[in-house]
Amino acid sequence: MASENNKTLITITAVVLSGMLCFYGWKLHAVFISKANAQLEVVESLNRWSQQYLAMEDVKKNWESNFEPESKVKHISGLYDLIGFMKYGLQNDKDSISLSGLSQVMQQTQKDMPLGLTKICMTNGSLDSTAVIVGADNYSQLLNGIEKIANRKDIIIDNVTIQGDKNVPIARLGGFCIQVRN
Amino acid sequence: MDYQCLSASEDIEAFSEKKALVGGNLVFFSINREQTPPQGYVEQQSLNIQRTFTSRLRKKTDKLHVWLHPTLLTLKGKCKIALTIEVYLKWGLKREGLHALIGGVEDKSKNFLVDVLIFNKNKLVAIYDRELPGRESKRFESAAQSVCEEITRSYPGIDINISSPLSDWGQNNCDYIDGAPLTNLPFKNLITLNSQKKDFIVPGLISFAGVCLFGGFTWHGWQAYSDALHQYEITKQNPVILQQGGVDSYYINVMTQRRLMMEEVRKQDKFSSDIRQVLDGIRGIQDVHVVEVRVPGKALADQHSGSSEKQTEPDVSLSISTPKKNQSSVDQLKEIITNISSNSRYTIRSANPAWKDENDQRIFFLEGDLNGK
Repeated sequence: MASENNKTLITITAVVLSGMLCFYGWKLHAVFISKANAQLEVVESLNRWSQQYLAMEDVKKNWESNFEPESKVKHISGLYDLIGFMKYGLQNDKDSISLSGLSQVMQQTQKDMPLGLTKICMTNGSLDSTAVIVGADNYSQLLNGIEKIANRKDIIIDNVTIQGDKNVPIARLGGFCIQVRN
Repeated sequence: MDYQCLSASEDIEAFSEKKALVGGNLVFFSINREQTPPQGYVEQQSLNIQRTFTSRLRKKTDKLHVWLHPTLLTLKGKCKIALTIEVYLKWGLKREGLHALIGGVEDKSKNFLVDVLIFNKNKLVAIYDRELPGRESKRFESAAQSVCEEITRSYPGIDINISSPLSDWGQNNCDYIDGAPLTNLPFKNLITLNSQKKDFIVPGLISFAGVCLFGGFTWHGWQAYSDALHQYEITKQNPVILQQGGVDSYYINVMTQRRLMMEEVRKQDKFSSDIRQVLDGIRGIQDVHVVEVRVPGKALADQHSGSSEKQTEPDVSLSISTPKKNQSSVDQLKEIITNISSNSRYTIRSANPAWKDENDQRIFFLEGDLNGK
């Protein structure tokens, strides 16, 4: 038969036991939850990555349509064809064209990481050592041609100078380069 | 003696002691409930009738069930009690062999009950009570004798002991052991078995709640964790990830850089329209001819500080020619700038050097910011 003291003792024991169970249950719960969250973060990052990866498909297509592969350029003539001044109604002295520089294009934010492009610069060397010279029948044709060629993602032009005092409309395209993917 | 014996319900009301040894018809007992007490008797904790350790642990061993007279419970809280039957049983179980114990609370004038307990090999084998006339009655002697003879008849060769609070009956075949079983009487508070059960309800519920919460927390946590693991397993099967053989952050970085590079708005995209804008501004101004237009304009070295640091380049630099006039070059320049400004949407200013004469032509050097107006 339980005495009054025993009764109190049993109740206290029950409360303590219950409290401990609660406390450790809660702790265990917290451990599980934190493990679950860590796991979910991994899942989240995997999902994010695969979404990014899929989103990059468009970028890849864009990239491949904007930039020709390096393999297409075996010699300067091939390079010339790649630019195709004629397509834009521009005349250029093919015989005097020469390479003036070759470099790897680096990433904007990480300057030591290659972007995957080779930049090939050229000039109409004998006439002017810093520019490619293009001409057209009239100024309108000249400017339209320059506009189109300058809008190509693989073409870089630092500056354009229009000469108004020559017999035919002429423009000097300074720092003219073409980029091919490698 | 700091306690009093209590054996009749009519004595209870007047009872005022703190401790009582209770026997007689206030206590009803039965092995394994073979008999049930009169209405109203209150059940107590049952007693072991075998003196082995394991019997205490085993639930299904034989028990001596005990009930108390309801009136006795009016003493609850006022008085602690010990039961004669309990102490006799305890004493009897300790003794080896076959023996009997007669005990009870005597009354001088009234009939009273004696308890007879038969033990064999540390086990209670029989228990019953017999009513005797008052101790001072003439019939007592023979009645007592018949109680003893009844025992010897049933159990030949048995040792019979008579214990306090009975007095020595002086029977030949009985030993009087006085108060030997009554040392260290286990006085306890009066409780009913029901209330005793209730005592455990609250702590039981508290413990149960604790166990439930523990289980609930653990279960919930485990569910969350295994769900997350499951999701991870599913995600790992993503064809893109399988195809790439894992997460390749380098690829994403490079492609992001390429995207940014291709999305970048370049100055060269506007070169032609810039030139057109400049030419439109000059067209129609009399006697003015364009010699050269350059986008972006040439930046001049800062002449004042002499540093090699370039000034920001203007959007455009241009040179125009116009026939020399009978007019200072500064005035002529002012006029031309005013004309161009009114004709166009860009700001124009003289460059450095501002002009030069070439034969009959005067050439002005200008620079300007497009859309700057």
